[in-house]
Amino acid sequence: MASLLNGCANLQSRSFLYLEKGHLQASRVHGISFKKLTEIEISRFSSISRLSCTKNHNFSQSTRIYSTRTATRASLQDKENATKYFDFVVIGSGVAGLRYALEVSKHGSVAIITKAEPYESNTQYAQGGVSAVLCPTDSVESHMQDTIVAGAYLCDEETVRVVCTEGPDRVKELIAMGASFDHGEDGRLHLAREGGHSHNRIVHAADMTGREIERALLHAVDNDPNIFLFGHHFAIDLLTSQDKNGMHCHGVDAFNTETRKVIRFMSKVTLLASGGAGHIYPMTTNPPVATGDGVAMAHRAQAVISNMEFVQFHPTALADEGLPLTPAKRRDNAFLITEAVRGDGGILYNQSKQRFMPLYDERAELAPRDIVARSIDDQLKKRGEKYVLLNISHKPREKILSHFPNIAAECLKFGLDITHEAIPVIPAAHYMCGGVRAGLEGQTNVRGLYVAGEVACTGLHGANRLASNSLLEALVFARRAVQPSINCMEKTSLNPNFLTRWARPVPPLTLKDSTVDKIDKRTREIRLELQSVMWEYVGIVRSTNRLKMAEWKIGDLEREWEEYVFRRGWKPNMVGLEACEMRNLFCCARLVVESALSRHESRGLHFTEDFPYLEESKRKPTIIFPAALPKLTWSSQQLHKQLQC
Amino acid sequence: MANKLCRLRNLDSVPFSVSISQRIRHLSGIPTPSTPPPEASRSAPSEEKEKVESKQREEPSGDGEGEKGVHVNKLTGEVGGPRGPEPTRYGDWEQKGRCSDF
Repeated sequence: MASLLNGCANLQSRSFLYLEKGHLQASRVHGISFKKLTEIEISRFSSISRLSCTKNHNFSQSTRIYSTRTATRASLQDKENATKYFDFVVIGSGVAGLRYALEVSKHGSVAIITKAEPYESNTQYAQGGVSAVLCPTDSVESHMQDTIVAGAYLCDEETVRVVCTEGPDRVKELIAMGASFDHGEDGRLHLAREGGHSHNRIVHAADMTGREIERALLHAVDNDPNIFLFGHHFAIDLLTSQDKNGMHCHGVDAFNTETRKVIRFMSKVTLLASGGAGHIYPMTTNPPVATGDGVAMAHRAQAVISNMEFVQFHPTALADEGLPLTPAKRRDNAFLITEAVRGDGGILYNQSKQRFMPLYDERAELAPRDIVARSIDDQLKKRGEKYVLLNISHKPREKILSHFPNIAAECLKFGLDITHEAIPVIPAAHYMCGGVRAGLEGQTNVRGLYVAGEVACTGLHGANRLASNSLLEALVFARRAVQPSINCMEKTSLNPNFLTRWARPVPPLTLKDSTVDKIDKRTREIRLELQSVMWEYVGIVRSTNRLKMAEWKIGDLEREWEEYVFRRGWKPNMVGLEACEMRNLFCCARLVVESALSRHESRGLHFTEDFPYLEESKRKPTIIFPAALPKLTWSSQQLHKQLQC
Repeated sequence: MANKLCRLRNLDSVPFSVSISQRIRHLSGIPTPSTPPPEASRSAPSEEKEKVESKQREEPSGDGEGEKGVHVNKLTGEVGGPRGPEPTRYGDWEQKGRCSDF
C-alpha cells in the first residue's frame, strides 16, 4: 500500500521517508515542486538494438514491412513476433498521445498502443471546445486568473502560466494539421465563452470539437510512415528496473485482445497518455475504456501520484433507474442534462416531491454547479434513494421541445415525456483532476516515462478543472514532452538481453473456456460492487467515517475477488481484459480513497463533512509515494514480478 | 430569465455554520472575477434572440446560409456553428439539451 508523506520531502532522494501509516498530506511543497523533477542521466546499455519495422494496422490483420527512415539495420524481432522494439512507445490514442507521436516520429520510430479502436478515448467525447487566448482583447493573465480561481488556488502557478501562454500556438498547430474549427464570416475563429471564463476564448468545431481534433490527428498519424498504431492492445504493466539512480522505464507489456497474445514493447522512451478513470464510479460520462489503467500502471511502477481526491462530477445525468422502461443494455456513458434546463426554469425535487434546493442555497436551482451536485448527493444519501427529479414540464411544450430535443427524444425512447413528467437525474463522474505527477516537461520520477493528458497531474487544474482546459492541457504537455523525450532517446540504447529480466505474462490458455467465462462474469459483478461502494462512500459529499468504511469494503472486496479467481486456477501472471481492468480499478479506487482521507479540508471538488472549510495551511497537493512495504494485493504489484513473490 | 449562475461569490466572507445544508451552501465553487458574468450579456436578449432566430428559420433559405449552404449565425457571424440558442448561454456547453462540457 502507498504511503503518504509529511514533512520535507525530496523526490530525488534515494530513500523515501515512511512515517506512520496514517493519512497525511505533503505539508511543504518547496521540496516537492512539479518543476524540480529532473531527469537523471540514463546509463548506456552495451549493445545497440534494432527497431521493429512491422506496421500492424489495427483495421486489418495483414502486415507489411517498411524500412525506417534511418539507416537499415538488422531486425531483432523474435520469431513469434512477441517482442517489438521502438524508439518511442505511446500508451493511449487520445489527443495527448497522437499529438506527441506526430512530433517524435520525426526523430525515431513510434508505436501507439491503444486498448480499443484508436478513436475511442475521452477526447472523442469532449464536445465543447479548447480554451486559448486568441482574441486581441483577451490576455494570458486573465486565462491564468480564471484557471487558478476555478482550481480553488491549488494550481501550480508556473504550470498555469506555461499552459495559458503556449495554448494559442498549440491551437494554431492543430489548424495547420487540418482540424477545422468554427469561424466568423471574416475568417477569424469564432470564440465561445463557457462558465468560469471571463472572456470569449473557447475554440470549437460546432459541437464536436474533440471528435474533430481526433479525426485530424488520426489522419496525420495514418499518413506518417514512422508511426505504427496497434489497436486492441491493452497495456498490462510498464517494464521497469531500478538502480542506484532510481527507477527506469524500458517499455510496456501489452495484451492483444483480438489474438489473445502478449506482446512486449521495448522502448527507449514511453509516454503514458491513457486518459481517465471514470469507471470507478457507476455513473460516468467516460467511455468504457476509461478504467484508470495508466494511473494504476504508473503507481505499480513506483511513479508518484497526486491529487486523486479531486474527481469532477456533473450534477444531473439521466438516471436510467428512474425511467418507466428500463434500458435493455446498461448505458456505457452518461447522458448529461444541461444546466440550461435549470436555467430555463427546471426545478429539482426528491422522490417525495419536495423541492430541496432552497434548503441548501438561496439561489436554489441556479446555485453553482458544485453546490447543486453536493445538494443532490446529500439528498440521495440521507434518503437512501437512487435519483432525484428535474421537472421542466410546467414550461410551454413547444419551448421544451425546441430547446431540449435531445433530452426529449432520449427520454421518450424509454417511455418518459418530459413535457408532462419529471426527468430522473443523478450526478455522474466526468473528469479526474489528479493522476501521475508530472513536471513541466511531462517528466515523472521514473526515467524514460513521460505523461500527458488526463492521466497526468500537471498542477494545471488544481482542485477543480476550468471548462475546456483539459484538451488544452493535453496539447501543451504532449508538445512539451517532445524535446526531453528526444534527448532521452538519444542517450538510451536498448539491450535485447534485458528481455529475460521480466517474466512474460501469459493468457489463460491452461484454463477451460467455461472457467474463464465464470471468472469474467464474477469480475463484472465485482466491478459493479466496487462502483457502488465508491458512489456510496466516496461520492461528492464525503466524511472520514465513510471514507474509512470505503477503505475497508474495497479491501474486503478485492480479497474476495482474488480468492475467487485464484481458486479457479487463475495464476498471478495471467492476463485477460476483464481481470486486468479490475486490477486497475481497484488500484485507482484505493488511491482516490487514500487521497481523500489525507486532505483535512474541503477545497474545490473535495468536500468532507468533517473538515467542511478551506484551510490555508492545507493548500498543497496530495502526494502518494510508492511504498517499500510488501505488496499485499495482486493489483499493487506488476504482473511480471508476480512469479518472484 | 436571467441566469444567476455566475453571481459574485466571495469565499472569504462565508460565515461558519453548523448544519450540513448550511455548510454545503457556503462552500461555493467558483468565485467570479470582477468582470460582469457572461450570461448577463446574453440573458436579457435571450428572448429576443429566440424571436430573431425563429424569424431566421422562417426566412428564405438564402438568408443565414453561406455560399456553400453552411449555416451562418446572423447575430454572432459564426459560420458552420450550431443552430438555435447559444450553447454556452448557461455556462456549460449544451447541444439540444444534452451537456457535453462544463
